[in-house]
Amino acid sequence: MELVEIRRDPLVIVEPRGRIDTVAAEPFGNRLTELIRSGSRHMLIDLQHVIYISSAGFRALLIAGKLAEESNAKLVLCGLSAEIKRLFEIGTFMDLFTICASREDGMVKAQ
Amino acid sequence: MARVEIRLPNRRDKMSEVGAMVESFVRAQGGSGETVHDVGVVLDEVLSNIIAYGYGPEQAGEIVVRADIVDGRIVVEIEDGGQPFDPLSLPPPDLSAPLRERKVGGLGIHFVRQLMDEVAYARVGGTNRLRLSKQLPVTPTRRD
Repeated sequence: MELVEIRRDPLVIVEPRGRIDTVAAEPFGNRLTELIRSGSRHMLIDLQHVIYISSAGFRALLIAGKLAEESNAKLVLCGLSAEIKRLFEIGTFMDLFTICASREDGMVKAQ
Repeated sequence: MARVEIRLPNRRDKMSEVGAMVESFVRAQGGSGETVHDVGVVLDEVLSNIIAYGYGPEQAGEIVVRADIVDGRIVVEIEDGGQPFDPLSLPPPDLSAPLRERKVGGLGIHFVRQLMDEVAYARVGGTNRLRLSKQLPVTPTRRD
């Protein structure tokens, strides 16, 4: 997995690319919590280049989501492929996050 | 014969490589994007479980992954010599809790059950054997 970050102050767009598998979930989750801890309050995670997310990746998203909630930070997701959306549904994560269909919507919601 | 067998040590750094090999096998056998995706996720869940809990901290072990096409279904078998463990015995995860109380224990095996058509566990001799299968989409394919 590669992790691309784009800054559009005050917004940070995080773009993981590849597989968020057990091994990749650790640096992915660490980076998200680091961003929130260092003061980011407007974050968009664009998943359009993600091939899959396994449960370890969802754990990372949950931890970041909880931390964002506690820190009054906005954490928005976008770019879910049909397969990834299915995993969100199977895990009943759809209601736990703000999920946008497009990056443009996500950028607005994360502001 | 459409079949692949991969042996890997119980090390996390080998998992992605094996996942990618099995994914290409499924793709080459006419698996749809969805099937390739599902097999990739499921394999990550099963292998990470075995590597995390099957062996002692310094214990080296070998895991065997076999993928095969049987009657239009992709069949993946994962065998390990770790301690006896039936992942199907785990309770289902609590999927109703709100964000702050949500735990992900059991989510991996929940994905495995939901994404595959059949999941079966057997303890054979000193080996854990997990057999997963999923119907491949029915498309006319050329046979060589």
